[in-house]
Amino acid sequence: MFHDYSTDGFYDEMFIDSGQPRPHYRRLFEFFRNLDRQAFEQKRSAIGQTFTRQGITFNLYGDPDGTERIFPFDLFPRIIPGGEWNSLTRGLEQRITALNCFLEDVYSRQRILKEGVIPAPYVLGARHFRRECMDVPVARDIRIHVCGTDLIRDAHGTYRVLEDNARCPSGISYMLENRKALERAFPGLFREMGVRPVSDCATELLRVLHHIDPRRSGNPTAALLTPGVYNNAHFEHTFLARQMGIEVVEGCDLVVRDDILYMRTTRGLRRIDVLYRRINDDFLDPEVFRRDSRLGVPGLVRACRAGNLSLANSIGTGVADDKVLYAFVPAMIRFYLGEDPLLSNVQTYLASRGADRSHILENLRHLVVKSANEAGGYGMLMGPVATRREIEEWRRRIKADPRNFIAQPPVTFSRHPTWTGSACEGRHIDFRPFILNGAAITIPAGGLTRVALERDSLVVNSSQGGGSKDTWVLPDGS
Amino acid sequence: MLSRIADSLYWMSRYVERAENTARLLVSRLPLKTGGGGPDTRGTLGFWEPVLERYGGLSLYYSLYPEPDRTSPVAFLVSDADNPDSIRSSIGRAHENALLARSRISNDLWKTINDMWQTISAVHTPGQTDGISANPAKMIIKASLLFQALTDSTLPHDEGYSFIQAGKLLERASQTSRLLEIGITTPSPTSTTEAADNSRWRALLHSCNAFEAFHKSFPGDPSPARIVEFLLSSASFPRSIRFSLAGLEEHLENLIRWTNPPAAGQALEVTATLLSEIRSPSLREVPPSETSPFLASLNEKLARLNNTIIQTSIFREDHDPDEKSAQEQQQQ
Amino acid sequence: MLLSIQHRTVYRYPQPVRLSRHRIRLHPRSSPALRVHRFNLTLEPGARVYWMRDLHGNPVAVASFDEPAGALSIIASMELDLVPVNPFDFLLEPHAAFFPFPYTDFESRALAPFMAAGNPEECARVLPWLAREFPDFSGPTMQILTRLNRRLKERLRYVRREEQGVQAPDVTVDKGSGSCRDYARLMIEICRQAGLAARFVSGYFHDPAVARQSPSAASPESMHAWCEIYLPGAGWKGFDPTHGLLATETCIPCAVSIDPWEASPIQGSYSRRGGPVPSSMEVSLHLQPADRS
Repeated sequence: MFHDYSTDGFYDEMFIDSGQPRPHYRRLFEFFRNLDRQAFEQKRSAIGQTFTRQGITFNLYGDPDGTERIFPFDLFPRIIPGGEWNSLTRGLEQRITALNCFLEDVYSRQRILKEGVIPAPYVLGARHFRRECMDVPVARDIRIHVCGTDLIRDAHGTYRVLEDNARCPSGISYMLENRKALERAFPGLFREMGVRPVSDCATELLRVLHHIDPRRSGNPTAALLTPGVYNNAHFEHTFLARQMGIEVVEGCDLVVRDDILYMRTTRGLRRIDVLYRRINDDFLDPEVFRRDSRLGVPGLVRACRAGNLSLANSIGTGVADDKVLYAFVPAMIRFYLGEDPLLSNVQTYLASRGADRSHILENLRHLVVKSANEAGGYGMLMGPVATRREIEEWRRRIKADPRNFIAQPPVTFSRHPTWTGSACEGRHIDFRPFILNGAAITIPAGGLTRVALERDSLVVNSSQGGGSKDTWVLPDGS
Repeated sequence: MLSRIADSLYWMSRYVERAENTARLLVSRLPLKTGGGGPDTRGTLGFWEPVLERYGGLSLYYSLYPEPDRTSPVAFLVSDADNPDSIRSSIGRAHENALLARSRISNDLWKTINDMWQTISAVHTPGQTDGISANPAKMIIKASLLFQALTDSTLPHDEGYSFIQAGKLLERASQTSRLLEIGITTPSPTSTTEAADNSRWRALLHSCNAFEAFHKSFPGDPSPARIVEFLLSSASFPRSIRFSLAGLEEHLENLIRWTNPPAAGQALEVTATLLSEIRSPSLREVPPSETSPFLASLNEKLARLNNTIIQTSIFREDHDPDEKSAQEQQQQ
Repeated sequence: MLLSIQHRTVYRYPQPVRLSRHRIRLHPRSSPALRVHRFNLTLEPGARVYWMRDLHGNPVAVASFDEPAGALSIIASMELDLVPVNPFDFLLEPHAAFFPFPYTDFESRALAPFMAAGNPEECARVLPWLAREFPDFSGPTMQILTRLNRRLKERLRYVRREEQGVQAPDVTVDKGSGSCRDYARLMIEICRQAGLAARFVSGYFHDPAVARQSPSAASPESMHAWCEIYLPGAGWKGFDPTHGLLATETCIPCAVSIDPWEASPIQGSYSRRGGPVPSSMEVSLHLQPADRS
């Protein structure tokens, strides 16, 4: 299986160099080496069938058919040793704490702006900054309740944060389903290696939702707000709601009366205290945001302002995953926590800074340019592989609206052995752990490892042809 | 339960039942036609017209098939996406509603509906239809039976279940009534022989899956009057209108127990009135050929009952009391 | 009070140049307290002129020139009737009585362009400046804003700047000085960053009393600039940070805009085959109370 495997000079998660597995992969290496081709194929097809039957599919935006596809899943798990995981989680905790302080601050006292640590227009002019939410308190001062932080490992194996998803990160269900599938396929390996469980993730999430009960009744009603069945993450919405035992509601199920949010049930109106919303700010409340939105419900923001409703995540968290403000996260960590960042960023140039801008415009060919507010791999220029026309088009866009663009040197993601259908080859991967922020910060031991299935591709997004892997975290001292 | 979900369950179930009935009608009529007539197009159409009129409408049919041939009635009823009453349309809507209520139905149930949708949407589009095949219709009938069984055996028998049953039973009552109407009004195909007439009534029984049950209840008396009576008011045959409405009554009672809607009892009252009309002995005196007006009014009442159920049991009046505030404004 | 104004601008070029279409914003924005009795616009060389209302409702004369010219003179002369106003004669909407307040959703939508923060590279030190001056920038709305208005006058040194354009707010803060348009621009940026809608105003200034006290502060030789802040209940309210006062009938608005350049009294360009040539400009402005007759 690994006979012809070559790391091709990339940082490989499994192999030090060709043929030599890293210590924490040794057991897996032996297991797969001893697995005959037929048994391997059996396990693979068994897993494939499980996924199809359960309809773990997603719709693609921009796909006119709206057809469902199965999220491609790769059998080889990614393994993280216990020690490495512990330092990762410390870094993630630090980061979400700082981001939460930042949001709490910019929506109230704005110390970080007044002290000039971040030039105010970057925040105040950010597309996802919600002036409407100034001085609106949130339950327990928590604004980001669920964060999916995208990490990569560079050529030296150093973890770096690529972006923070502080709005409506998706992927928890894939993490849980991937785990279920692999546990069924390799029960022995799990026991033997002591892989840490991720299964109580939904319970933790529910605990977070209960923690932000605005009435502190001890028994709040929570619901999950979905844009509907045609959304590409709808599977996840129903999956999580079912795991948590809460209703999946759509805008048309909701009504706000006297600043209280209700859902229409067959037993009459039922009050909702906490809404785990999986639609973006823009669509939440046509009274305040986009008037043409049918996805939300008029009055939702009033209910929040009146203190009758908690949203997870809160309105306005998007300013924390603005790609421009990303560059200031290390500064936020120093400012709010007085600590040095444990996790590094990727070097980032801001097109709105004069010096950076000329560097960007002179080096478009050697940079990755991203627009500040687009997610999911859309709105990105890959300089090294772009056509001349694309480069010129982006040059024009950057000049026209510098505030909206950043650039980074292309970082090579680490690679991981991945089944291509006929052989095992290295493919680039990233990693999205999920951080739950309630009474305490919990990070389920695992996450979504996304893999770019095409050779040499760096695009791991599920919406653009990426796949996923299970992520195994080993016990301490492993 | 969310009202929207209850609504989806109700309609999912109605549409599966509707598809099954359309399929039965088709299957029961195909041997008739292939046995009785030649390639005579006019005869074929005369035979199908009452059916097409009630399943999609003749004007739609003729606008979609300006030059109909032998296969076009089947295409119109099975796979035509433009006919809102085709099996394909019914299954499409059942599938859509099932997707909306996905969180409330079992995996097996979902898979069954998904399979139905895959099968029916794979059936050739009209122009390419490969003759008159009853296979997709037969598959839909089987899948619908599986759907009933899974509903019974994999779902909790709670309010959601009662909404599913209510949808199914109301649909069944109105479908049986529709089939009766067709049976009564279909002219005998070209030759008015007794054999042909018999086969017409036999087809009616088949289309309600009632052939065996009827002959057990009335051995040796296959008169039209008996057949109509059986389908209308048999107390034990599960597709009779009476039986369906009695079941509906039971589930409406359950729903009131569970959800206690403010307008409790409205739907129940209507159902009870309908039941007593059907049970009434005077109805038996009416000759079969003159039942049409009664059936027409029954269908109208069933449609009203449907609205009452939706307005009082699914979406409740107390959800959105009229909020009217007057605003003064000068208009130019 | 009747006021007659004569505003004369002459541009001179070393050689004849081709003049582009010019936009002239010298006509006051009339209102119940400001009526324009007479307005004459004289252009040399002659031009075809039409009037329009621009995006913000400003009266703009658009002049097209046929012939190349060695000089361009624009003379606006007018007679105005000004009604004294009490700048405090209004009632704020209850929701806006105390700052900070959120605009209603309807207001926010209409005001969005007047609330957008400026370029981060030029406006980074605005909020820090505000925080230093007003550690707690909250309280009764009018009190807060009049204090801010006065504070700008106290902290900044007025200088006449002949060079074109407006200083970046950061520069004004750093240098501690600027001209009236720089004051206005800084005040606007402060308001926008604090969540208020604000716009730039260009116009005439005439106040015999102030002119006597500090002739340098409002030279009658050029036009004035101040700003307006949108306050629910009061509407667009004029603040003149150069004088530290609320705008009254002494501030005669001609054009309002989101950014200063949009409100320039005269806007146009010239060109010449064979490369650019320099130009010189001469402005004179005379304001004079007229006899009521």
